[in-house]
Amino acid sequence: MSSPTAPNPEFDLLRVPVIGRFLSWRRARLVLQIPLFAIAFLMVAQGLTGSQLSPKNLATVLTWVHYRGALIVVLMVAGNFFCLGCPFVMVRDVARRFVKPKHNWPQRLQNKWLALGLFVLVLFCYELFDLWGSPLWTAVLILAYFVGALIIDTRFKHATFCKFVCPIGQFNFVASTLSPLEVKVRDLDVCSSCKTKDCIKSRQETTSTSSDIVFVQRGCELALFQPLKVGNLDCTFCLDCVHACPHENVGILARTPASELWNDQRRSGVGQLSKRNDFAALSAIFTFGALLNAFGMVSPVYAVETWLSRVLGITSETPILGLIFVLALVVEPMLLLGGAALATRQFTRTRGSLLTITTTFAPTLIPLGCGMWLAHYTFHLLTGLWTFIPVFQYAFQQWGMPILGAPNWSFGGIPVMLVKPLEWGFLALGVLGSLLVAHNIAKREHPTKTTVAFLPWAILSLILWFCALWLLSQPMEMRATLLSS
Amino acid sequence: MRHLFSLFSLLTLCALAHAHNGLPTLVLQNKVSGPYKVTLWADPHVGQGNLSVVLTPTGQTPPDQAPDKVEVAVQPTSKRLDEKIYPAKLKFKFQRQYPYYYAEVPFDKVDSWDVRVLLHNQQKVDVVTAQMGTKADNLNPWFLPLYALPFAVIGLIWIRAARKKTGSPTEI
Repeated sequence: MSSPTAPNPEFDLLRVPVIGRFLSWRRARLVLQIPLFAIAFLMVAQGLTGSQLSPKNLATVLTWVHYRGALIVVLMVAGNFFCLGCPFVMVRDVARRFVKPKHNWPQRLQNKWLALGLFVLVLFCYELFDLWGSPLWTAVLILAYFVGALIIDTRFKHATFCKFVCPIGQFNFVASTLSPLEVKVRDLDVCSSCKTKDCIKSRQETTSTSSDIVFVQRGCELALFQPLKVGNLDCTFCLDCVHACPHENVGILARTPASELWNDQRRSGVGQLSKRNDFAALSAIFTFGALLNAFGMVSPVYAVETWLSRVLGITSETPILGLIFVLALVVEPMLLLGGAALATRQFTRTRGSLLTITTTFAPTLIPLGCGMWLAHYTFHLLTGLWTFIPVFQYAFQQWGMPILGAPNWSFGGIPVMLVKPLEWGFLALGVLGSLLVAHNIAKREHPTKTTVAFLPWAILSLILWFCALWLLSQPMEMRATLLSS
Repeated sequence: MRHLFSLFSLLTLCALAHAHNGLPTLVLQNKVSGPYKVTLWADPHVGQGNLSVVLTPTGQTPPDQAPDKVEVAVQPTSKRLDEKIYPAKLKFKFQRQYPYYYAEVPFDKVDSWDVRVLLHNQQKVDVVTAQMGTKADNLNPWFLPLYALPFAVIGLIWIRAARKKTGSPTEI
C-alpha cells in the first residue's frame, strides 16, 4: 500500500481530529445506523400501539417535526449524512447475509422516474391522509420504507433501492447538490496510477488457508467511480469508497455549494445533467413540491379546496387534492419552465428544442427549492424543538416504564418571532443560489449572449421566490401539535 | 370569470385570517367541567393573541354533542382592567374532523392574566378558570441587522467562490 497522499490545502472532514478518525473507522456507519434504527423501532411501536393523538406520539412528532428539519439542516451545513446512517440499509445488509441478490435492476427502470412518482405519491398521501396527524399511518409509512428496501435489495444487486426507488434518497441527492462537503478524490494523480480500482470494484483478498477470494470491503454500490465522480448526486455518503481505497485517497472535501449544478461534465454513474430529462423533472418536482407542501399548510389551501369543491360539485377531497397536485406539479412547471425556455430560445436565437433548453436550465430551480424546504422545515423544527422530551416521557410512561418522569408538556421551542427572520434569510440565500446557477449555466451555454439567456431564468427564480415569501407570510398550521389533532 | 373572482376574494380574505402562529402554549389540560374535559391552549402574544379550547367528553356526553356557546373571559390578574368576554368560534377544516373553539383575544401588554372558559349549555354555564402570562410578539428592529449579517456574509462568500469557479469542468 502506498503512503497517504500529500497534504491537500482543501478542508477535509476526514482529517479533522476525532470526527475524521471516527468516520474513517469501518464500523462508523453501523454505529450511526443502530441508534437511528432503535429510534425508528420505538416510533413504529408507539405509532402502531400508542396514543393516536399525534402530538403525544413519537411516530408523528419525531418524523414530521424533528427528522425532516434535522435532515435538511444537516444536508445544508454538511452533506448527505442521513443516508450514511440510514437504518433501512442496515436491515437490508443484515438480510443480505442470508439472501444474496441475483438480479440486476431492469434497464428501463434505471432512471429517476419511478422514484419521482413515489416522491409525489408520498407528498400526496401526506396531504390526503393528514399523515402528520396519524401516528398509525406514519408508522405504516416507516415500515413501508423498511419493507421496500428489504424486498428490493434482497432481489436486486447493488444499492438499487437507494439509487432508483427511495423517495427520501432522491430528496437527499438533489438537496446535497448544495452541501458544502463532497466525498471526493484527494489527488487525481494517485487514481491514474491505481491498478486495483477497489473504490468501484470492491477490495478482495485471498484467504491464508485457501485460495478462495473474500470480499473484505465493498466498492461503490451506486456505480460512482471516484476519479470520474462529480458532485454529490447519487452519493449516499456510505464511505465504502473511503474504506476500499488502498491509497487512502478519498476524503470528504469542502467545495462551493451548487457548483456541480453548472458543471455539465459527464459524471460517473449519472451521465450528463443536460441530457437527463428525469433529473430535470426531479429538480422541478423538488422545487414546486416545496411550494406545494407549504401551501398545504396555510389557510388559503382550504379556501381553494372549498372553491374547487363548489365549482366542480365534488365533495370528496381525493379528486380535488389530485387536481391541485396536477396544477401545481405538472401544469404550473410546464408553463413556467416552458415559458422561460421559449424566451431563452427567442433571445439567443438558437434552435434547440424547448425540452432540451428546459433540461439544461432545470438545475437553476434547486437552490430555491432547498431554501424553501429549509425555511419550512426549520420553522417546525425550531418552534417545536423541545417537544420530543415530553413525547419520550409519555411513551415510556405508556409502556409502564416511567423512567424519564411524568411528561412535561410545557416544553415547546424557540419563539416564532426569532425563527421567522431565519426563514427570510434561507429564502434569500435560495434565490441567490438560483441566480448564480442560472447565470453560470447561461455563461456556459451562451458565452456571447449570457445576459439574455440568463434573464428568463432570473425572472422565473424571482417569481418563485415571491410565491415562497407569500406562502411563508401566511399563518402556518402547527402540525403534530395538539391543535392539529 | 365569476369563479376566478370568488377564488381571488377567498385567497385575499384568507391571507388576513389568523391561524395559530407558532407553537401554542398549554394553559390547562383535561380539567373536568360538567360533561366535558377542557384543554386550553394559547398563543399569548401582546397585540393579537388567541385562545383555543379543546373539548372532549367525559364519557357521559356523546361525542357529537357540542355546547350551545363557548366564550372566554380575560382580565389582568392585577385587576387593572375590567374583564372582557370574547366568543370562541367552532373551527373545522375542509373535510377534516378536528374541531376546536377558537377566540381572538387582544392583550395590551406583557402581564399575568386570569382566563375563564364559559361553556353555555341548556341555560347552564360551566366555568373553568386558569392563569396565563402574555409575551411580546415583535422582534426588536435592532435585531434584524444582526440576523441579516450572517446571511449576507454567507451570500458574499458564495458569490466570490462561484465567480472563481468559472463553470468549466475539471479535466480528469
